[in-house]
Amino acid sequence: MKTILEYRELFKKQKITPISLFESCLKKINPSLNAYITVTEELARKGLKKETKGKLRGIPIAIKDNINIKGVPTTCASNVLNGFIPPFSATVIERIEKNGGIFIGKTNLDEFGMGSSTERSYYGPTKNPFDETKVPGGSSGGSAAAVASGSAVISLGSDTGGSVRQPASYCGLVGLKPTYGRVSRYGLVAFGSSLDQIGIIGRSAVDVGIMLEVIAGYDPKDSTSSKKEIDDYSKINETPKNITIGIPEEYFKQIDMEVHSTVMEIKSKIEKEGISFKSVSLPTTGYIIPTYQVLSYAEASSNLARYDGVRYGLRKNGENFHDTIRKCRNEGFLPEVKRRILVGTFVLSSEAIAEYYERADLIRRLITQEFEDVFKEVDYLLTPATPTPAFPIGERTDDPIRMHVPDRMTAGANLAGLPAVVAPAGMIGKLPIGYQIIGKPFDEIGILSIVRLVEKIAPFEGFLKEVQDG
Amino acid sequence: MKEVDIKHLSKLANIELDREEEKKLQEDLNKIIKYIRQIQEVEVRQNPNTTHRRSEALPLRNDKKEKPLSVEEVLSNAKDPYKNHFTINRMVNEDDS
Repeated sequence: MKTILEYRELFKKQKITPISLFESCLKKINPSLNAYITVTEELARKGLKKETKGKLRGIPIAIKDNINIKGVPTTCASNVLNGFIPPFSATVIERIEKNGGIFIGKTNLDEFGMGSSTERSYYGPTKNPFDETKVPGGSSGGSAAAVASGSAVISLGSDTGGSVRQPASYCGLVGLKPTYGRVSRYGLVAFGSSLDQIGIIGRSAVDVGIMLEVIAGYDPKDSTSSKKEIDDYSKINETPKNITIGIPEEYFKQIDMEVHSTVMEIKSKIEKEGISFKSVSLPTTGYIIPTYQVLSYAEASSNLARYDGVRYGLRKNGENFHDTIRKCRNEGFLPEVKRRILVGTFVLSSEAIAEYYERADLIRRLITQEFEDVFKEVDYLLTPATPTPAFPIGERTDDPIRMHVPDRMTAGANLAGLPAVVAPAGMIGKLPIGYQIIGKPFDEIGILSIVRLVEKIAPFEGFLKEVQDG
Repeated sequence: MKEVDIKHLSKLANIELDREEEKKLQEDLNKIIKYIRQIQEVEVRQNPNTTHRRSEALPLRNDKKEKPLSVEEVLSNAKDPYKNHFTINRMVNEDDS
């Protein structure tokens, strides 16, 4: 498996063709990983016939199954959307099509993006390509497993509290959550609208930058999308100069010793390149998970109220109107989604809203302010991506609190709307582990340039051999 | 801390639960709410509630008519459409009229 730029060169020299690349990706789809809910072979072959020119010409791309492709089922890994075929495509999909990208399939996720392991899917769990007894992370676990196992060159996911970055860490990949507003959410099925952002999972900083350039930018169909221009991705290759990276002490507590030392090794390597580091503090870090839970569950309970089986999805005729809706929702949602809807309903109820929802919203302001203050002292933050490497399948499915533990590293960037990227730091045993760079709003190119620098000075050697050779 | 009223919440959320599910979710909810209660410890300033502080004003799109989805497209996923309408159970009985 190579990078987008390398494939471009190979296409140009006619060493391989987009069709042969697609065929080889198709062969690498490993059913035992369960990375895909729908393989879109027919759609891909139609795309290959068009020979559209553009930045992604002939590149096989996997799409998380909560992003609409017109005419292809969107399931969100939920029974409630059984049989739903969207009559429109997401803006990101239209932009990829215009740039010649080839869609290989729709990938598995935790139902509606609610989970950190891709185990809570109506279509069964996805497995980690590095060790099939471990989770790939979530909720964009299918998108990460697809790229790590070589069936796609790059993929799209969505990130509400870390759902792109956490699987990137567990699968040895680069995962970017852009600034809130950088990428249009039109056609992404909503979970927590003030936190959701479409993200990218790829094998290198430049690949992720190329995809970002394609999908970023203002969209009249998403009023929260920004008009800010994005820099040319080639700037990612420039070595960052005169910058200071902050090490927030709170992010290095309650993590595995090996994760600590692996991330610290990355720090020393960057330091040797003449970049300075500074210890900083983000005191409210300990409250990120409960704050994130209150706000995202509240938004989810409101966003998921639309699933009633009347206009689309699972229809269950009951004795009366309310019965019809309740039956559909009861049979349609898995337990975790029900749990989140119920807690969300509670924190928004008249007796609890002030104590929970409104208070969490104020804490969100505090968390954002802390980031803003820290970014007056430093340009970037370096943190671990996850407190541990991938955990065993089944270990946390019954524990609604423990499942959220990895979010402590990632959800802060969602609450504050900041861009953050995860990239491989090294291997712990046979499992990869990532580091995270958080940046100032709209500085995606900056955070990717640090990842690029690390790729140059400490190239990740953990990619699966069979994928690397293919 | 008062126990959450799962029956009331499931009614508000339009989710029908069987007895076993109700028992399990009651336990889970109590655990989760006990956990999220820790946000009460944080000293917060009474700022106006706005979710994102952005320097940029929300851009407005041009006030231009665009092609909407057709009726057929909109109804393409409905299970029992009837003459360009979505259908639900009968709400008013003949006796009510």
